[in-house]
Amino acid sequence: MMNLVAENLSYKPDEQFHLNEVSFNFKKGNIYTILGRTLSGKTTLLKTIAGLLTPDSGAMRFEDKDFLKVPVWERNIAMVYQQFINYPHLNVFENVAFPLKQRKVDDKEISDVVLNSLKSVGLEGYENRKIQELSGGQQQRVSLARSLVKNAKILLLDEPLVNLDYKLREQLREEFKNIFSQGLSEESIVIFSTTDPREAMELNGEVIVLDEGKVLQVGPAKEIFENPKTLKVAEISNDPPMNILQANMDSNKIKFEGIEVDVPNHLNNVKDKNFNLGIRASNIELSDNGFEFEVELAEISGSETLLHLKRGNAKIITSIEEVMNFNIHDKVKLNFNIDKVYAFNEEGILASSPFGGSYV
Amino acid sequence: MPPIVLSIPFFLFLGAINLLDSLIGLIVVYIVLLMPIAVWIMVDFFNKVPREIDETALIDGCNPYQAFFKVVLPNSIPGLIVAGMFCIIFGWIDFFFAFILTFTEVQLLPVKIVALNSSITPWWSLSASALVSVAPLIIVAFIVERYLSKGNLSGAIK
Repeated sequence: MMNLVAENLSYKPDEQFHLNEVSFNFKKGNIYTILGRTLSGKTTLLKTIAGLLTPDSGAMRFEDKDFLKVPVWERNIAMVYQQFINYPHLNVFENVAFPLKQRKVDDKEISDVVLNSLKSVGLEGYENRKIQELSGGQQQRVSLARSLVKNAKILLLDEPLVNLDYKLREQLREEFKNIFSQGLSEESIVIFSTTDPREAMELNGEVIVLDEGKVLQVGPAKEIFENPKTLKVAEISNDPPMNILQANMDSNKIKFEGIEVDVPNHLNNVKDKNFNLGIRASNIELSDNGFEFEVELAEISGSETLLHLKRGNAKIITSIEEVMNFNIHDKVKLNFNIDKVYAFNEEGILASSPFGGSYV
Repeated sequence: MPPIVLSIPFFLFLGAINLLDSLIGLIVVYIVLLMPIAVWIMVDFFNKVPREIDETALIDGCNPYQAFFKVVLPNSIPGLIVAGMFCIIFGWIDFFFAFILTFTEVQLLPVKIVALNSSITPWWSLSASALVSVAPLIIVAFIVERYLSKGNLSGAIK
């Protein structure tokens, strides 16, 4: 067995589980994205794989070895942190060369490999700069270059983009995709953790949804997006989060908060009378003959307007693809794209999705 | 604790191992006295080196000892200088132990200068020798000052 396999990893340093019976099977040559909110245990999981933390129970195997017994410095891994971690007493070249020097690679080869790797992250000509002189994005590139030169069998990226500004994040995310698609050998496993569902979708690898230390769903990015197994997954894997409304179904009408709509075809097989209706923000649009909602908050982000709306007890968020000004307590009329709604049963498990998924 | 309390055990101890009135004996005594303070200063500087740098060194293939010597120590140079300065100054100006634990073979500068204080030696030669005795410290302070401001950890984590 050459995969990285974990069985029932648990880690509970205090009252709460940081990892709760986590199992996975990571194959070489693939990208895995760990998606979860802050404090969901992403960093703990990566640190456990790196060997910086020892789980309370469970087993991990890699290349026929009991991986938990291998000390960190012999694991042949690379890790990029959320903060930009570099050695402040070394310059850029020495920083990237550090892991190779540690392996006693000869100087000529080090110099070639390091310069190449600096080139691939766009830092040509910066070899002699001090770390302190670089901007945040450049510092993060240095640590990325350092993790790439090692040609490690396991590459761990712990929210590497989160501390960067918007423009740089977009740019570096593109570069990540390029580096992963070309520079990655068949021999390595890339594990990328993020809170941003968009990043997970864009990397288009296998996604592991983590919450409170528990794995909620594993599957290709597209599958997680189309058929989220539970309400929690739907919440974590959508930004803005999916709107959830208490609804009930009567013969061929869905009723929620005084709104009545026809039952779309894909919800015909839902047996429960009461259920949770899930609607993505992007499937709600302004419409003159829609249902009336009251504006609670309007935020303009980039070229979008995010509207937080209220009707009775129901609160929803919708995004409008243009910049518009709203005042609090304004009334707006909305229409729902009812063919794209999800139904979750009362336990929060997916009963029906527009893509045909169901876990009931 | 007043140093005089320690002087009797030190005297007896050095006497027992035949190191009274010798440089090595004094060195042993100063190490015992100054080590706790140096440790106390260094711990603070080691704690300032972010944990993640330590972890990165381990990930990059260092065992814990290499991580300490190749990464943590070079990033604690200001601490080493502060602790070093502290020990040098206290060792250099100490009168009490140098006076009690040495007699004729070995004499440290402060003891010697005090010995000059007699009715025969004029006061100006006494103050001149006092000034000369602190001159090395002043020079060291000037050299070290540059390194103190240079070595900082900014840029380790942004």
